[in-house]
Amino acid sequence: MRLINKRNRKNRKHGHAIVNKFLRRGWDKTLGRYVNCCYSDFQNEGKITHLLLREQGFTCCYCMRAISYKSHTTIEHILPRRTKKDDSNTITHYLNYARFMKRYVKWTEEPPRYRVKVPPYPHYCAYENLVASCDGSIYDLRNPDYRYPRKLHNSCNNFRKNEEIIPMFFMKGINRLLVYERDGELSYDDKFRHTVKAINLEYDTLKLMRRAWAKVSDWYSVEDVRKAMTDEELRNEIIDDSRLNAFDGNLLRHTSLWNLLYEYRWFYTYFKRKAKTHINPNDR
Amino acid sequence: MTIKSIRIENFRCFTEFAINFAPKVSVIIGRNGAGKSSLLKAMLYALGFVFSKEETLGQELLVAGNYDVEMEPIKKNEFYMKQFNGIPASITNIHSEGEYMGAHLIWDIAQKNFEGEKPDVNKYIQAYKLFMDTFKKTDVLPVFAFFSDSFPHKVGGMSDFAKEQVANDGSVVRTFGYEQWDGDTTNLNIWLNRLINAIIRNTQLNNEDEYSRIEAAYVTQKLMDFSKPIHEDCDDSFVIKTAFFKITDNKELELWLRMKNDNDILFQNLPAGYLRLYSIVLDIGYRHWILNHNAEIEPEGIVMIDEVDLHLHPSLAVEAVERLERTFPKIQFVLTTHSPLVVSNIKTNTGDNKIFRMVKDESKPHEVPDVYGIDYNTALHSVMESSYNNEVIEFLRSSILRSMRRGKPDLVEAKKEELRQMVTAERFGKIMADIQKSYHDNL
Repeated sequence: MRLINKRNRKNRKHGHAIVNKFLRRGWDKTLGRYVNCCYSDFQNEGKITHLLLREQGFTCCYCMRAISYKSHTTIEHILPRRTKKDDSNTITHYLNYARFMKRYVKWTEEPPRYRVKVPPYPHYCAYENLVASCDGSIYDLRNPDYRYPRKLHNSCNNFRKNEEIIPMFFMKGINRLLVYERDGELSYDDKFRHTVKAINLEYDTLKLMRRAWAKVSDWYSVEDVRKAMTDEELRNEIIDDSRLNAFDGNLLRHTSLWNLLYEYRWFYTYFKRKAKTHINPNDR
Repeated sequence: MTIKSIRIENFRCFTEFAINFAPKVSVIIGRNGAGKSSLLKAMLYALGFVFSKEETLGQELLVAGNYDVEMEPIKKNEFYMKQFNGIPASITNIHSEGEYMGAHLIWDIAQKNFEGEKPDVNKYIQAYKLFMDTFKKTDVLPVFAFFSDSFPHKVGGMSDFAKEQVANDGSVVRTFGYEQWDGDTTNLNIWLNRLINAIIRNTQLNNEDEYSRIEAAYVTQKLMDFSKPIHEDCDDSFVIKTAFFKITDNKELELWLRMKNDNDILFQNLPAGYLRLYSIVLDIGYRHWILNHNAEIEPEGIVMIDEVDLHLHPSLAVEAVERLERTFPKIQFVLTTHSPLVVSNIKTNTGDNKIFRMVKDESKPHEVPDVYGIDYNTALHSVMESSYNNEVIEFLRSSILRSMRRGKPDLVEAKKEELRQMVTAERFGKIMADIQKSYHDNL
């Protein structure tokens, strides 16, 4: 998993400017309340999405899928947008998590009933409370229709809904706490168990992607995998040479799953680096 | 009581067959026609000796006063049909060894193939007398129950004797607990009616019958214990909170269950999978209660279930056997199944449980090694002997051919090894010959 740095001064300044402008424009002086100032209006502007994507290197915060502004990107609220006011346990859990959360985020109604003094910002549009995530539309291997793209929510943001999680991507040294093994499995500390389950990181398809990259990265580069998206012969050669077993190979030779493999190319660098440094969760 | 081993001669599809059961759970798998159900049927005949009413057994009979239960003679069509040159077998023999409260029982059920014959008394009289002596000493009766694949949908009738006993309070005949124990039909109505009666007695203010209060509490407790899930991801919306009765417009009484989330469900309207499992638990619990009148001791005895995974969703099939074991820790279960999920969740490493695979026309079952925790596909392929998906084999075939053409011998060897583990030796040879042929054709 990749560390997301919300302490970068330049990004923070940019993020706050976007939110400030949004809130300023939403306030109607004559009516004395916020107009057109819901989350949907904020989302439609799109500026924040570009900022978050750039900050995260165009990968999903949970599953490391490559996402872009036009494909599969959703905005994830760390403190869920639909949290109720009386749910104070949840609110304190998230806001006490990091100092920047406590300082810059607060719970408000959507839109706020009175004019807010910033900072802290309303939780539904605060820059510190937002990360970019994929929509979890990855194919189901058990379903015989897996070869056809369709809208699914099998992991990440839309799978989580309002489950309480630990925002792992803010932890320094997360790559030592949560290790992707070469057989696709995850090794992690026991306290992450609920989080991993809530965002479904141990989903079969995700395991297949990680397992495949662990083996493919020994023999081929990302560029080869990209070429094989259109070149079926090269694709078969990659599958053969990487010593993928027959079940995995038979699945990956379908174009849609191979395209998905290319979207998970972050794992190429991960396994390359892992082979060099031998990261072991027990060593910490 | 546990049954340790059984040896069958000339019965249904067996000419000779012997098996040693596990002390707790024996799961029997095998293809259709391997003889799983016949084995259970043979066990029913073997256990039937305690219900014998032969005069030579002496003055004291176990089933005295019970008009419904008796020892069934083996039917004409259940003898082995083709012993030699198409002539049916002349004698069938079921030799069993068991243990009952420390007493070691050995007996034979031998019957000749003639009209009006009954099993030979002299072959089981010793075991019967030992059984009766031990019963008099310990005052514990074992539970015997058999659940066929039509349980609980096929409803049987209720005899006059049964009606009388259902209406009785504490003074019920103890051997009434063996009512319809080996039948294909269900006797669920008997237990349901008795449970309603017991609950009604509880509600009466002048009730002085201590017995009915414990009876309702004991049986409901067993149901509640069973309904609690073991794994987190199993559906917990059918966890029972309490059982109660309602009076319909036609002035009939019905048993209702209140679930954890305060939903009320009529017992007969439970989902098919839960209805079967809860009926099994109600049956075993009630039989034990009537046989022993004692909530202190755990039920012990032998329970046979045909197709234990019938109607069950995978998440429930995984833990059904574990739940049965948890609710009735002292009962010996003999189960048949076709589900890899049931098989892969049996812990066999302690020796208490065993998995047997039966093969047609063989005299011994194969004992399956420890398979606890293996995944569905592996269980399906290696344990249940189902063949692999053709698509995967086809892909592997083209993969070998491709590697041969590219001139990579090490890759070819690795793929060959993979293929060899997936298919039978015969099919492997056929596929390899096919590959060689198309390789040389295109050179």
